[in-house]
Amino acid sequence: MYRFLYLSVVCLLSFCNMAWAQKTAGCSFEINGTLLDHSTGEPLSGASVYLQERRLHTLSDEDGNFSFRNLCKGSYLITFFNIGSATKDTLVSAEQRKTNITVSIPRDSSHQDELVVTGERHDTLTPHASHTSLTGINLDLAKSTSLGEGLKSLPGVYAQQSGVNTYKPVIQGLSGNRILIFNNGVRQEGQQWGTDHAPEIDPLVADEIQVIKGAESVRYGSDALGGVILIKPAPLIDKGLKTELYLSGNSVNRGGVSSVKVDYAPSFIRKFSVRAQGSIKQGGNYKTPRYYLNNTGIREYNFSFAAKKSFHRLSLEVYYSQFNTKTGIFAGSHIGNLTDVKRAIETDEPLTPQSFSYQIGKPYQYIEHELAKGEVAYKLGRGQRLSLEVTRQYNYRAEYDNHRTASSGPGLEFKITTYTSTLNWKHRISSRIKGDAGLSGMNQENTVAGRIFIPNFINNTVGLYWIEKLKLERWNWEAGIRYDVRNLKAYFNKSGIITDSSYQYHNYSASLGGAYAISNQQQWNFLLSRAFRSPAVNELFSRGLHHGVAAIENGDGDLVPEVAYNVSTSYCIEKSKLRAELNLYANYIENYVYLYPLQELELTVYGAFPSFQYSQTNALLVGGDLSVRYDVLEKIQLACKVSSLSGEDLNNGSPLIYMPPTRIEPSVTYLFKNTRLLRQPTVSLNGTLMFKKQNAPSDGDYSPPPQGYALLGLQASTQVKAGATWITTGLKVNNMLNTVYRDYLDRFRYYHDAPGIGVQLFVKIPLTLIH
Amino acid sequence: MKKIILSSLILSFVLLVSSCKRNDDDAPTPQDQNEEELITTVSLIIKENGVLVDTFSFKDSDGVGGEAPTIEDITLDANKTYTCTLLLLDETKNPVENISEEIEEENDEHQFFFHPSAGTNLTVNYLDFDDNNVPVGLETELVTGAASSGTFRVVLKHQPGVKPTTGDTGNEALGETDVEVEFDVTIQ
Repeated sequence: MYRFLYLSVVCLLSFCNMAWAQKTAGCSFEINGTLLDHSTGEPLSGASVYLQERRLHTLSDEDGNFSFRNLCKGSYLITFFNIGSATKDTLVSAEQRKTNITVSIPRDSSHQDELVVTGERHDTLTPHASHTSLTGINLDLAKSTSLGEGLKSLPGVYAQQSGVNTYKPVIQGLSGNRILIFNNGVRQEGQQWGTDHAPEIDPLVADEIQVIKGAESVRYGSDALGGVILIKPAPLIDKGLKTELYLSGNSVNRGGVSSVKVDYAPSFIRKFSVRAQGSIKQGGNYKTPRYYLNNTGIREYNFSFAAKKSFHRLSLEVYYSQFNTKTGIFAGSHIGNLTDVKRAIETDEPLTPQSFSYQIGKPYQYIEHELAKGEVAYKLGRGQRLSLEVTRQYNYRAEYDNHRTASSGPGLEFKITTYTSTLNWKHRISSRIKGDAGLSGMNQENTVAGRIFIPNFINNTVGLYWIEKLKLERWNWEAGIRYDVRNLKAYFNKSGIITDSSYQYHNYSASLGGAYAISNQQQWNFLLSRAFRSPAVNELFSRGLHHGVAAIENGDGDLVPEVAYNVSTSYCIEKSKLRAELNLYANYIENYVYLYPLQELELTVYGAFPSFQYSQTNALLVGGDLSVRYDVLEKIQLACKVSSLSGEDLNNGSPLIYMPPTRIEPSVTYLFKNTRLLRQPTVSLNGTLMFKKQNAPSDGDYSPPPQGYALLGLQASTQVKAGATWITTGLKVNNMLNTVYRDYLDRFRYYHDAPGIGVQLFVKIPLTLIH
Repeated sequence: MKKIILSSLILSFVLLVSSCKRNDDDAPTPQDQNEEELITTVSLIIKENGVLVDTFSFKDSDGVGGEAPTIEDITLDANKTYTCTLLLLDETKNPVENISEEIEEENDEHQFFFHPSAGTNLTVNYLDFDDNNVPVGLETELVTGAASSGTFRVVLKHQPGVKPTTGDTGNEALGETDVEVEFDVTIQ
């Protein structure tokens, strides 16, 4: 760990040296500009801005602003491009010390996706925690898997797995209730607490998936101690009729995904657009290098609708989506007691004969998630905007298992209904200061049937927040504060006698961030934040046998909220040949909730089980993520991503369990020349080096961490011209050498190997039916 | 025109929300925790020549967690042949539910396995078989040898779809464990 930090610091210093050495030009002319969307007049953020003569590249910030400094007097050709917009060249002459320009870019369907190249991008000068995104080809490839699995390719992001179909994102070592997921602006409310409960979201709705690393509670709400994941659909179109067809296949489970999206903005209604989207997914048993995994099939169907109508000042938006899945669970994992788990660990291969099938038998999970959202926004003028968002979510989860149950129904059933409303006031105090303030509320009702593991509950929260941003010459500052109150009432029924317990939690979150432009190619930012998380229902009340993990878990009603103090800093550089970002963080969590393993086994009629008690300690997580890309030759890019962290239980002086091991991902990419029929053809070879988890605690784990592993992968993609449209296609070979391995964060590593070689292929066909 | 669009938008939203899936259960009136099926009791009914000798029980009347189970020690005479009937009950229900009956009905999905510890002079022979002639274990014969002591472990496996259909031993490695209890045993 220390060696890694040391290397990172050395690396950072050497970047700085290079950067300063570069800064020889003695000119001090500046070009500052603002980018706008031609049709809406809204600022365009994250658009690429390229100054041809000096080969300088930058991105517009969230207000559409960009700037180039240290220029000499003269004329410059600046090229702008953005996803879903046309490319635009503008000749700007820098005659005065400061030249200000405003550029509006029209949208253009034929250029859609043109400039989406790879994984990450970051807006300039955002005084937030470090963030990274999945877009373009990488997102298209991820869409053929699941949300959690796709996000694993981002630096600092990992996944806690329960087998091949269930991935829960882990950001900088934290997961589950400590991460918030926003689906189209709505905080996902399902049964997030379970280690085998994956996010109920269809990645196919997304145009970009952004991961914000660090405690960003002020903006997104309490509980975000680890980070936030934003699922962002593409903006609705403003004219024409467009469709997009997406098809993909994966050989590892003989699975396929197909999705259709239709966007329509009728010419006879002003400023009105609608979208319908749907997807179907099916997969069979996964294949590992040595055997199939029985009962790991999946079936999923999802759809969504969106509509938006804008008036002069008023705009109305509605959104509805539904997610439905039936996910098989590897039968060998749902076995029973400690004797069975030990037997499974001791045998190298599953005990039952394994073969391929699309059949899903017990045990399996059946999940529905429904989201409805309405938003009204009103422009008050002078940069002020008032908006009200109302949402409803319904989540149904049924778990079917092979244990004896009285009926053929699910052994366990959860239904949770959540209503939220948020009133936000976007305002501008001066040209330099602007911000958001608002009020949000939630009402949630959960019911449980079958084997009672958590009780019924009603949860009400209210939050109040205020954020201001200050823009200076080279600094951008942001400060925010938030106060949340939560009322939780749980209900119990023992032999007809109903009792309840009420809890109230309230606390504040605060953050201060700054971003400093060292030059127009380099920036440094930092975030200091405080966030809190109230104990979740399972941590307070769970009582009983968790079959999936063969353990007895006992909640503790006396738990107090966790409070996190997070410091993170990042440095990034973007030059013509080099792009790098280093992010270092420390997260101190007071009253960190974890499962404390009790020494004695608990005796039940099902046999003996290890027993765990929810407890609290103080924890410290320290780590860093580095991502570097270097263009060796014009056509060859070398890249490397490194993520490493250490988690310490400070009270007991021991390491925290299930912290991701160090990961290094080098890659080499070859960019072919564009031809008349092919655009951006690229091939890359990538490696994943996963180190063995060192100093993992042995208490609470049935077997020691598995060996480290190295995987090789191949990825190729291009756009192909077909008539008037460009079809995007990509291919990815995972685990090319068919390596046998098991991952530390996969709870099913006790039972089986990870999947073997698999070929993923996708095509995306956009069609413009009416311009 | 505007009004039509506005009202149709509002209407469609209302329709969407009202067509939503609903939860008809009410949080303040939770399901009785005892509704789920438990196995609280495993009794060994020991007979000799059809005459009841004794019963030995494992009882965990409040299920997993809470009170620790009570386990009676098994005492048998040396050099004898007994029959043993297993009775599985859910005593949290009123009337008490007989789970042995359900196992009997689904005997091609279940099998009991018996493990006297090493040095215990006790042999178990199956007396009941499913339709495929594979043992079940609700009825067994216990043959004792010379005086000795040790433990006696009883395991019930639920093996839907995977219980062997041939052979006379079954396969304990398959399926899920429904019961695993261990008694102390003395042969005197």
